Amino acid sequence: MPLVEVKDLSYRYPDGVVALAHVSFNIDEGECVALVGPNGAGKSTLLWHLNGLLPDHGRHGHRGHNSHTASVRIAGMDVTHEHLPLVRRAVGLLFQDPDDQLFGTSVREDVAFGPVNLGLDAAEIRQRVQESLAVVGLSDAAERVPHHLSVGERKRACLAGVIACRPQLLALDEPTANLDPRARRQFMRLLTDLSCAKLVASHDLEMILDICPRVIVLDEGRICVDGPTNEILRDEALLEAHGLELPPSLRGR
Amino acid sequence: MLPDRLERTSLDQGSGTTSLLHSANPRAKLLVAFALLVATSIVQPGWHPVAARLPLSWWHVAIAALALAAVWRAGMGGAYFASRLFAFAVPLSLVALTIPLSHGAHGWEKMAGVLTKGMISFTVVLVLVYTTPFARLLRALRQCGAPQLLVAILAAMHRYLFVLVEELERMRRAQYARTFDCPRRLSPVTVSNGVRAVAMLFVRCSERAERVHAAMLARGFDGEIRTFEEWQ
Repeated sequence: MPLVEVKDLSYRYPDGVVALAHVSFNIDEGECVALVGPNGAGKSTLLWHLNGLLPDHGRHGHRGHNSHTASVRIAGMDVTHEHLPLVRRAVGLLFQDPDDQLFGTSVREDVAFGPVNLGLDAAEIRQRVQESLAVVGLSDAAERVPHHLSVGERKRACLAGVIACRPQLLALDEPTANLDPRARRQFMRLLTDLSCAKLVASHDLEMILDICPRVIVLDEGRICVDGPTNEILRDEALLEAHGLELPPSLRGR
Repeated sequence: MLPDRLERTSLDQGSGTTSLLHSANPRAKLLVAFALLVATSIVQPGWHPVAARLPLSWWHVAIAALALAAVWRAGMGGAYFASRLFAFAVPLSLVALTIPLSHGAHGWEKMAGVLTKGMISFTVVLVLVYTTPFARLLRALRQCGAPQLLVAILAAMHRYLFVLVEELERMRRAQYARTFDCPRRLSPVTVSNGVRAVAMLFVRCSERAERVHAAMLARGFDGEIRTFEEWQ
């Protein structure tokens, strides 16, 4: 059974704009998949769907019936209202702007937010916070306040908060955006070290080439191609048709 | 990046300084400050009046002296204190000006009383905030029995105040870069730009609030605020 099953998912925003149209794909346990496409292609909307975060998602009789058809399954569970707690436990979502996600008064308290909401006991919470901070290399920053951290540190603190919930799938929205080269490298290393399945929405094709063996190209809410990274990211005509370009390391070959 | 950093440090200045007051127990400081605030508002002017008709007692003078001594002991610096007091006194005075208009005789004395009490209270709170890191203050509030919801709201407010100021700064800089106007000069253009910036900030705040809420839901938030009491 695949970890993520998306079948014929369509979504329309309340203003009528079609964000996703007949999207279908699967992700297996431990797989690392990239989601690429131009701005406004529906990448973030798709990620939010995996977590049941869109306003009318799973709410019966609330505007939602004609705007989308529920067809997302995570670890065998339909993403519907009654499964939301379990679905959100299975899918960890990393937002593009770390300030959206880092709402604790200190790094430690923020990382503890997920485990506390999972209802874990004190010893387990403490252990998970310590482990997650150690994984992202922020053990020394536990007491610091979020607004004193650099952007790279904030991103890593966010990741710690997400992995503290031990998700089976990590959905990442532009994980390397706004990072300097060193912080970007560090973040990529971190992602490769994590064993859970990953769905990475990004424009950073170099990173995708490095860490994701499979790519899904999304444009105007539709999946255009789904296949091996090495083939797709070498196809200049295909990339240009969808507002992308060859990664620098593959140019001139 | 530099202006952001400047803005950020000026908001929680004092968190790096040390003094006797900085190292005092946050809960004790909170309780003393609360007691002084209550005293300022309940002491009757007739108890040891400073002057006839002026609704202030020598007790108010004593509290003010205590607060000023604390300002000095906390190592706050005259300019820092004066600028904060001024920023508070201006809107307070505008409100207080309605008293002489509505109270007729002795209105001015009453206004002086309100202004003085307001400024004493502000000084007490300023010393408390200056000498106590916000996270400790929240913990102290919680220990003193403040409702969890209130503390969580204060925590979120403090966290996002910095994000908000950074956002406003970025917007203002972007605006100055395109208006070719002296930002300090008050003209219809700068005023209308300022108003537009505030409106834009509201829109952005509401969008951010939605994203923050989504991020909370994504990590298992179900509407009930839970905190890890061990660290509180």
